[in-house]
Amino acid sequence: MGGISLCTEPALDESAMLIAEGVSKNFGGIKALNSVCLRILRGSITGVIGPNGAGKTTFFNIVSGFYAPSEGRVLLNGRDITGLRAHHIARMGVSRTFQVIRLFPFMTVLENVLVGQNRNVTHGLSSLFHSLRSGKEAKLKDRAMELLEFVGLADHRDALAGELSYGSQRRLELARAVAADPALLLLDEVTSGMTYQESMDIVERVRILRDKGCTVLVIEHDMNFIRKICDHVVVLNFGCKIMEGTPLQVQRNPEVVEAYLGKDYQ
Amino acid sequence: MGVLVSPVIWAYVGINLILTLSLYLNFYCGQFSLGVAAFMGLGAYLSAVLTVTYGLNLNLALVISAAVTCGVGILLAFPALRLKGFYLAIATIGLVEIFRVMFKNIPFIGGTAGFSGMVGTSLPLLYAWVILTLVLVWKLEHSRLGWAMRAIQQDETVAEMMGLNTTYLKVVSFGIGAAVAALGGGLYAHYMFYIDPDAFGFHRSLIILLFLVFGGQTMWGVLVGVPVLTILPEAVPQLGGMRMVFYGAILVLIMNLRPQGMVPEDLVRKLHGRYFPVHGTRTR
Repeated sequence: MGGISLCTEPALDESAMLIAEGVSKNFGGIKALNSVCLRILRGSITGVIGPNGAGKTTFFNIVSGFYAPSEGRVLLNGRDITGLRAHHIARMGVSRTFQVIRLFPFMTVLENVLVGQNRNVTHGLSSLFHSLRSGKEAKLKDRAMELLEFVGLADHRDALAGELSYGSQRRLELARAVAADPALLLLDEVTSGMTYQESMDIVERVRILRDKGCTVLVIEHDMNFIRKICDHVVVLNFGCKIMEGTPLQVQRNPEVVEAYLGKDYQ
Repeated sequence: MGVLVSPVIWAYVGINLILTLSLYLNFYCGQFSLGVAAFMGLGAYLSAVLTVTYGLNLNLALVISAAVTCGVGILLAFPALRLKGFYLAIATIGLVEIFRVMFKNIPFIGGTAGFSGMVGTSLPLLYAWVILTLVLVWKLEHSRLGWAMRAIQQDETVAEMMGLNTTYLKVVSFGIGAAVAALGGGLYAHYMFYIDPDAFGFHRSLIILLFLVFGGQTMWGVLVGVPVLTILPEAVPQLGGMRMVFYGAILVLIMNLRPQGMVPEDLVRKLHGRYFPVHGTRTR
């Protein structure tokens, strides 16, 4: 087994969007992540795969600031973001979706996207005196509508988010995450429960986002999806990075097959 | 039906409207606070002292006491808002009790004997403040700040991850709520001519909570619930000291028959066309 990998890369690296240096996370006696080192290249789509409980979502939670790592550090664009509060990290350009859908269910579709917009948006008391039909608010709405059109939900703008179908809710989560113009987008099983056609739709959208300069990190179980869009794949198992490489390399690696299917397979 | 022409009743309605809106502002940001009686009391005593002892103009006194109470609210928010849900509710009940006992033990404001000598206000003045408060709440609901607060109400963790500074937003909601409660308290003090510490006990917060729950936790619900629940017990003079029993029975009934309240949010949406966007406008 791969086990602990040592970090040899220099901390400052122009081509890296995200660097994890020996990131560990303990929950009581359980090591959910064990000295994970990663370098995510700017403008890439990187897949994070592994069996259930491998620590994939834990890794996302650490990057997005939901909790701080027990050890190690995380660098975004060369800046240390370890232990910063989540809203701070979000405003530095990290945006995410959730494994279990977490929209604001009693707000409208449009309002959900509006809340996601945090670039240059402040929440001072002076905003009480702004008109919603002109100026900044109107611009925010137009931008939000563009995003709803991008994911195909423009017609549902005034529906409550909680009333949408499952697939639509997933797409709304994507729109809300993209609303912040993120530099790094974390997608946690964004296609789970979707039909083949729907997930190919998502593939298309994610490619467009990457082409616009967004770095994307995806957690996926669907190898078809991974093969289609990922330049690079990282495999986690029991909190350790067991290998990384192109989708093809990873798929052929006996260690990966073993992690998923057990020792006696083949 | 004689009560409907009694100005005192309508004064009560106005004051209760302001107090319930104060609680609503906390709920709007997802904060289950019951501290409204404490801030009401602080506002009542501050404004009363300002007008009676220092001879200030009533409106000026109201503004100053609201501002000071807002500051106190913000200071108290930092420790209090570390607590969530019912824990915050319990802590704010404690807050109410602390303030009540504090008022009792300050001889300068009359202690247990209470404080009097306030110059009466008038109904038009009172309702001018009610309308001002309603405008504040309406503008908040239709602003960026309001969207952000509602997002926190629905899922605080996600709101934080969407880049919202949840600590700041919760403190702001607590501060505004405290200022509005102080305004209600000041008007109460000047309409009643006399205040004593026991008027600002926990039961006050509880009744205001009942108004909000009965109405349905929307601004329109407050506008419906407060007049109904303020006037009803007065229309039945036989109730007398049984008023709290009446409120208790109402609470039990509403929880069983219509737990979402009289004017819940989906009703507001329906009444404003097929789907009423809370932020008000359709851009295209």
